Amino acid sequence: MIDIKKLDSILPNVQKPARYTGGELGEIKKDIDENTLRFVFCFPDVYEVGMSHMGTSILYHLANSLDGVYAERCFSPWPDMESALKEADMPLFSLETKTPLSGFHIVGINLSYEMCYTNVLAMLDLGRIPLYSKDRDDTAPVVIAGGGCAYNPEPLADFIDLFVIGEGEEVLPELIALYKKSKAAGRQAFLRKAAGIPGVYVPALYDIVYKSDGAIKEIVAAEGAPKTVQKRIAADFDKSFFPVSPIVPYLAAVHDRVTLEVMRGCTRGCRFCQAGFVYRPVRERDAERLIWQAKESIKNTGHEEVSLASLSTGDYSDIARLVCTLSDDFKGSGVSLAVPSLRIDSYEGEYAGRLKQVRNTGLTFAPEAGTQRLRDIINKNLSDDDIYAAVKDAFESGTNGVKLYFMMGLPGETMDDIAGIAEMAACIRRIYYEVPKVRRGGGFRLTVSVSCFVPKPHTPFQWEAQDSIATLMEKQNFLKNVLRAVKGVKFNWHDAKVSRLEAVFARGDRRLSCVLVAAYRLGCRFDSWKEYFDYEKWLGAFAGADMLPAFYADRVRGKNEALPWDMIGTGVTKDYLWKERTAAYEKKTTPDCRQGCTNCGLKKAGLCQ
Amino acid sequence: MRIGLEFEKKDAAKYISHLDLQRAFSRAIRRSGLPVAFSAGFNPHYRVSFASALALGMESTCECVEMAVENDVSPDAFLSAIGKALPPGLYAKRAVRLADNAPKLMAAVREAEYKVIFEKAYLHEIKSVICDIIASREVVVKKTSKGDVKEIDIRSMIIMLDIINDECLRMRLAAAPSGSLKPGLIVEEIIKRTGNFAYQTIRTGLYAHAGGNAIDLLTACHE
Repeated sequence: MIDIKKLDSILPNVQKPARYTGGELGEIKKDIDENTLRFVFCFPDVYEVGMSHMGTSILYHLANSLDGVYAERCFSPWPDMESALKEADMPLFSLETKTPLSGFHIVGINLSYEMCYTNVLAMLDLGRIPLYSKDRDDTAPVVIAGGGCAYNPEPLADFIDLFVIGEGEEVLPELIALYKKSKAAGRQAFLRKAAGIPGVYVPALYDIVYKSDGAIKEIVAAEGAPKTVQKRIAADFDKSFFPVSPIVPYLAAVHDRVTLEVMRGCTRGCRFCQAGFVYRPVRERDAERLIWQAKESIKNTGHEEVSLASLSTGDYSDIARLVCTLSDDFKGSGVSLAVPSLRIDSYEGEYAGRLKQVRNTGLTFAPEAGTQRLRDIINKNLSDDDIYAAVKDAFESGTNGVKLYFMMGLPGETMDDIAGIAEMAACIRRIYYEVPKVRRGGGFRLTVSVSCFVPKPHTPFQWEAQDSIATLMEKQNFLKNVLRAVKGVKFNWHDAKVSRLEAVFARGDRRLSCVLVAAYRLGCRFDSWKEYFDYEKWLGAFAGADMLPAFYADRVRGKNEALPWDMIGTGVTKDYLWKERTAAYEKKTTPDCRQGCTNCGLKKAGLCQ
Repeated sequence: MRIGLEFEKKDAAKYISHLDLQRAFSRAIRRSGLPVAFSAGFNPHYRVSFASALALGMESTCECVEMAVENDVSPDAFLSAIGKALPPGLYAKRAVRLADNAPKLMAAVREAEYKVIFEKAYLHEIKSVICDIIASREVVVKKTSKGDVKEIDIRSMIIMLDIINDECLRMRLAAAPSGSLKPGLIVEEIIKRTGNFAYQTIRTGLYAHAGGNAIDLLTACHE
């Protein structure tokens, strides 16, 4: 345990000390003895962000439901706290028992986005764990990682002892059981055995051979390690573990509410969307179970909002009943219902009105592209008419604020597609003013947010090049100018430099580890936070490591090129992804697979019925 | 009907900011199932209002909050239900029914008492400094507000300053809506004259005025 007196002397001098105290309602407390397996979940971002992460919450309570296991939490210290820790010569510690990270048996890191990688290194370093896997001896914790970014684990391959690929509900208990059994035999023996658990990838057991042009020649798995690590899914999502007494933070988390997971996966098949491919198949949770979970969670936490989360909640087959029952049940209790990630074509008047009864929220839609042509390319099966009908409906019922999300830099995109975004904005404004004044909400507000397309592994666009920073900025400036003509529109755009680094690390290989260490040493932290992102430092890190971002971001990969993540299997075949890519170039759409199997490979892999 | 509640704020909960404390109470009320009234308006909230904001990081044995309740609830039942629902670090101590004609707690509060625990080695010097302070007609300190440094005389806002059992400093300071004194300003002034020592401040009392006397806040507003 760290020196609590010393901690108490530094906390008054940092911002939001409640980030580091633990002790919240719902925190798990356990007695520790020499047989307790000690696990710490590390979330490489600040407390308020990490405490909003549903996956971490599920696994924290799941691990703590196991006998002889105590799982704790740790979040990235904000830069002021990092300085304070260093100044006081204190290691980074867990919230529950204030134990330094180096004092745990297993350190589990969540990887939700690429721009958290320097924070991962900072946590290990501050927790006094050797950065490189190869430098850890039997006294150091086993460092494991999972989450969305683990589908291309390679940029972190040198730092992480093992990755969990896919859903952790069953792998985690299996790993913990194996650790308890084989702890005495030492780290190497454990890792070799762990490689035999389906869904576990031990990077040190894979040798990457490169060609002279820098591309990968082959990936050689050591004996006993699977050639392809197939992702795991929870055997029965409907009945799988879900915590109804989650921790209630003392300070406001980003998502400060009860979040229910109504569904996993999405069948729409948008070609840019990694989540849409890697989280297949679609599985729903029973409405009765969700209603019980909602009531129980509100009773236990006292939150004032319930959010129905999934990749596409509007596609949930029992959505109308779920929304109506919950809004009836919570009537008069001050509890409101939020349904994020509604797709426009699944947004129906029937329950839209019911949502409004509880709390008037603006409408948020993601057309992703400004023209039908480009929406066909990316397989966003959504027509202009769908969009305009839904917006009209919303204005008619008194909504005045609409948010639209787009991407730029998509494959096959031209300036006409960018202009299409402004045309859509102008059209939505016209629709607003066509609604009689008495019925529409006062003051037209339209937010247009445009992110930069990042080609992601395991998608049909995994072979694509990313637009250069100059091209993306040219498109942003063009759109800014044309949108100026449409009154009442707020335009947000993403920093193209951040997106470029995302593209590098999303599809990077393990040679990038030296760039990450260099960036970390140069002081890069919280790279997804505008106030801390420093592109110049990153360029310095690449130059210092003698690596080129362009090799990863700007290059179109060949059909037969070995990709860094080829040892990771999602169940969707590479052939299927290539077929989808070809269809994109032919502007052919692929229907939602619930209307008929599209043979993505999941069935053959035994993952889909 | 209004219920006034006195509670302690300790341990990790001392780092709950004033804004977050309001949210913590809203959640505790919902968990407790108590019939606290909602505000009118678009986003209804529980009608909860605190007597006096406490500095972040300071513990207290005497925070006061009032809540409007819709049905008749006995103070004892209220105390028991809210006590079970509050998160670790917030401990309910006492609940009273507030008089209908009593002002809001935040309007009634006039004085606050603090206990400052310090390093023993400084006892002698601290004693002599507080004697000086009490004997002075004015005590001018520098106060930073909104980036400006102002010199203000805090003497009139010091109601009482003494040392109990040679162990800790006790101070009674003005804490009215019209003007209140932060305990840190005085401690910093003492430190300026004695040299740096470590200390910890705890709020131990909130008082209203009645008939020229200071009376415990909840007692003063009690039905």
